[in-house]
Amino acid sequence: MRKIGFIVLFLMTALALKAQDDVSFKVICKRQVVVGEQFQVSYELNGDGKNFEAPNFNNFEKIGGPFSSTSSSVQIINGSVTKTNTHTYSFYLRAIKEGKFTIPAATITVDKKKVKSTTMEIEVVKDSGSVAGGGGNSSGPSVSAKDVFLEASLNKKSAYLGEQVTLTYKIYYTLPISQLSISKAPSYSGFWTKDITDNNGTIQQSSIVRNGTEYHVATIQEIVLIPQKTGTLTIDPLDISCIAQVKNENRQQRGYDPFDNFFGDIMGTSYTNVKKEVKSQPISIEVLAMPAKDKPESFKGAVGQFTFTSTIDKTEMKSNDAFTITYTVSGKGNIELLDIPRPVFPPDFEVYDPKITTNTKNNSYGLSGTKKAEYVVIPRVSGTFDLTPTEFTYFDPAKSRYVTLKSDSYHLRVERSANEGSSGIIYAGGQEAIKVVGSDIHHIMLKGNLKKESALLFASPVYFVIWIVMVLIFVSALVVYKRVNKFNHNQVLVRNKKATKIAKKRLQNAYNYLKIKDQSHFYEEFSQALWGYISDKLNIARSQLSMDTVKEMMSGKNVPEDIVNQFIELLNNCEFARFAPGDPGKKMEELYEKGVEVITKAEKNL
Amino acid sequence: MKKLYISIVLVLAACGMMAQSLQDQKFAKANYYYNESRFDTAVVIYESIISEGYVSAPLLYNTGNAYFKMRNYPMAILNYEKALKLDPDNDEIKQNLAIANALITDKIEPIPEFFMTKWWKNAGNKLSANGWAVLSLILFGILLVVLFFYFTAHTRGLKKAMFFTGVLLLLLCVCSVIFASQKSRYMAERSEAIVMTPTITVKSAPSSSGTDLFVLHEGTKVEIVDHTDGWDKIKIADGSVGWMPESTTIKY
Repeated sequence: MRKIGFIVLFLMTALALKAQDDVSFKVICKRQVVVGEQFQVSYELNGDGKNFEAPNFNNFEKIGGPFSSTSSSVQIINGSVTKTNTHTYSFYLRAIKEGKFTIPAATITVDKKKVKSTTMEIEVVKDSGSVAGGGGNSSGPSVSAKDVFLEASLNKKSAYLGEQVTLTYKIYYTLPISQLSISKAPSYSGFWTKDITDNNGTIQQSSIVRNGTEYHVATIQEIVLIPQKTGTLTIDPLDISCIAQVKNENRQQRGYDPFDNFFGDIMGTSYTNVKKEVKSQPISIEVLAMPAKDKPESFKGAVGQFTFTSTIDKTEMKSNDAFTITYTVSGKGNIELLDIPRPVFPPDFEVYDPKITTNTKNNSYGLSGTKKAEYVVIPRVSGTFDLTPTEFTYFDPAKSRYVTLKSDSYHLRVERSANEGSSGIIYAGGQEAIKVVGSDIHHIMLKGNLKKESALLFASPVYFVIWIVMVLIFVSALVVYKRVNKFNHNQVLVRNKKATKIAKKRLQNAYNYLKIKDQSHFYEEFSQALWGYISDKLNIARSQLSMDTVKEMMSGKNVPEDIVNQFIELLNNCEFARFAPGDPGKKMEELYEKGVEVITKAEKNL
Repeated sequence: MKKLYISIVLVLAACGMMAQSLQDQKFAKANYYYNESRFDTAVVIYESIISEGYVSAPLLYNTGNAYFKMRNYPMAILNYEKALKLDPDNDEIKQNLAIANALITDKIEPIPEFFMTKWWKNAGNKLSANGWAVLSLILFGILLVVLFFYFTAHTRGLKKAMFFTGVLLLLLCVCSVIFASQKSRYMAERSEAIVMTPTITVKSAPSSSGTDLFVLHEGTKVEIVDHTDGWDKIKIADGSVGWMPESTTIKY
């Protein structure tokens, strides 16, 4: 019983072991690396698996991975066909410190069973410039600067600010080299750079003899530099590390056995892989400023050789319609750095920020390409407009002068669109406008009051005529008035003058009546003489005559008071005498005497 | 013979009256179309009356309203301004003009007017140009009468009274003459204009090569200051001055 159980266990174990044996998951990597060296670690599974789990690479820097790849192989052995699929999971690690470390195992699931890979021990040694291979020579072979060196060269010794130059790195070698990597790249300060190394093709190799030695030359990097400041700019060295294969020179073997030498390579004469750092020399370039004389205003930094064109998609449109205008600069030079000048549009044209597209390519002549600026513009008003051409200025370093190019000018016709008025309201914006629009205009007036356009009265002939007529009326009225006045005045004068005469005549008549003793006629005539005299002299109308008026008028004329009184007395006496008793003749005579006397006196004063 | 003359005169008068009433009928018809919201038809009729030589503030105001309703603000403003010239104190015209002005593109800040200038202008607007002319004649006539009495007055009291009255009248007469002169000149001149092109750039000199100064849009009122060679020198309400082609504006 025990035996059977033992056998069963043994078989099962064998089976299990066998099953285990069919799956192979192993790790592949170098056993010895140098500090700082990059190396590859791969996990190989001989079949399909799932859920690959990477381990922790604790003492290494993981640079990349996992990368997986598959390969399959078919084996026909003795008629039996075996197909094998191999899955590889790779990592790129870098050794960061010295010592002995273990690359841990990775796990993967195969047929629902987790499988672990093998592990590997790696020794990380200090960089001593050489890795000892199988040979074990005491003095490690070394690589001199003569065997491998790096040369940097520029295609120009001097350039203008903004002019492109090409920097080429070439490696010269007499030994086979491999595994080139950049240890330290220069900063290229003061330059705008673009790497134009052709990575797709194979590295060009050629031979050249220098200083009596034949070298292989390969161009490993090409960079376009565009200087951004003037002066002497220096490009720092480029640091490259590579592995050179140095033949192990056994002193015993040297030169003695040509057969051995001949077959040395084929027979696998040992090579030593020597790590070599090569540095290029610093290289400088003189950067010139562009001439200030004749530098146009429109120059904004374009250097090279260019053409400048423009296209427009329509020249006739309605207002508020958009159109597109595109400006293109193409040629060789600092395409990516230059700016397309902003065009000027008429007022009331809404311009949006342009869409800029750049296409560059590089060839043996350097960088070239095109840059397009596409503007979308909306005219907000109607009318005809001439778009002023845009100027583009660049500096041609080959000819050392500035070149100004003009785009085409366009003549636009913009028609009024239906909603142009509404955009007017947008312009008029602001709270004030909105308030007013809310109310409507007043309604029309119903009474027309139409009349033909009337002529202006002011300063017209009619106007002046009326003025003149009025003045004439005025003047003539005055004249007439004055005349009448004069006439009257004359009348008065005349009466005045005649007064004395008339009075005298009347008195004479009165005397006559006195003589014939005609009392009634005497008194009548005498009275008349006095009153008449006074009336004429003083210009008092007969109807106004009275004692009081006479007194007043005489005083007004400054007749002395006694004469006035005498006159008044006389007048009174005249009245009384008519009816008073007494000798008529005597009375008359007295009165007469008195009358003459008074009149004579008054005459003097009037 | 006499009968012939009389009949001719009567016929002419009748014709005149008929012409007048024909225009009145047209006016009424245009108003009707306006009320029916057929503004474009109304405008056509109004303009035909104007082209016959008839003017009045209501006619021009109604034309302005019709253009306004058709959203043709520059023409509306032109007609309102013309109407305002004939009837400067009319509130309806002033208010409608303000509404139309708010709807045009340009917003110009006018220079504030000196208050005395404003008073003077307001006083001057109380009568029409011919009204002032007539008033000036009447005042002058009264002045002459007063002068007459001054010269022929016997009493000092009367003379004094006449003297002061005369001075007062002289002042009033001079004022009315000035108003009449100003208004008549204003009516006769066409020194104001409305921009009719949608956009125009005003230049610093009367040629297209002059410097661009500022941009004006249709509906804006400008004052014509000078003229040469197909170009007008204009001034806008904020005092800015420049040149623009004469074809871009309609004067009134």
